[in-house]
Amino acid sequence: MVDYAELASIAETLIEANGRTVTVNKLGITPSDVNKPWRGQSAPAQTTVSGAAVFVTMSDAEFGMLVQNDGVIRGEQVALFAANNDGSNALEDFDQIVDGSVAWRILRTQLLRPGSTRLLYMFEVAR
Amino acid sequence: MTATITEARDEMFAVFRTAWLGDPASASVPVMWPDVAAQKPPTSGAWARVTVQHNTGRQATLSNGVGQRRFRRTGVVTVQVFAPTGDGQEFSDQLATIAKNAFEGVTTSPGRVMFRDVRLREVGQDGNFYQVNVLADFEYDEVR
Repeated sequence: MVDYAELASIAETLIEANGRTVTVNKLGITPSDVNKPWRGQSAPAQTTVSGAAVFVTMSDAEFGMLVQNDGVIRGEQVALFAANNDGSNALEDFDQIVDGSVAWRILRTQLLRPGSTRLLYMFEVAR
Repeated sequence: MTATITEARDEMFAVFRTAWLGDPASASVPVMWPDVAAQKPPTSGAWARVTVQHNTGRQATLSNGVGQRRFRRTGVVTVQVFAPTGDGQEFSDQLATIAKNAFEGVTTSPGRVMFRDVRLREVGQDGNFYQVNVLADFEYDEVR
């Protein structure tokens, strides 16, 4: 029997050892003009989760290949994020990863979740 | 009266929004606006997306004494309605009717954007949603 809790812990250790700290944001919506929401809006971070992430390219990484499940390349990179660091937030609904001065849009999210163990997030991201 | 592109678009969206928020059936149904950041369609529950697409533009009058002419612009405003499947199109019909009535026989004020040929296109089911598009041709004049 595979101990998935231990695997989640290993994923966390490896990503923290080899990655860099990023911020994963869920953005809110504040219309610039409440009567004209089509005129644009500011998008302040509503919920923020910090943790280490490892960035791999879409083309030459095994995890990156997993995200290309329809054969269409949309993102530039894949960010791997340990689910142990998600602070009990469902990061599947989050919008943005801030890595230093770069704000990556999250295009697609996959969560590796064997059984009930949340193990690893794979974020397909683009600038 | 006449309108610029931005004024005309404002009036078209405002006409739709007033009708959408004015009906209890659609008031809480989220609307996605074009080119607005941080909007994500919900994964469950109904939602709609509105777009304005200009099509033609031509000179409609000779110039007046100060050299101004009327230019007539036409296009299509589209409301894409996405409703949860399984109710025999009941809710999608309800929402599409609200969108249709927002434009049918309407001329906006003060820009005088006129809507014509309002029609429905049932696109069909995709995943958890049943999609119906409501299209309305529009026309307005710009003076410049």
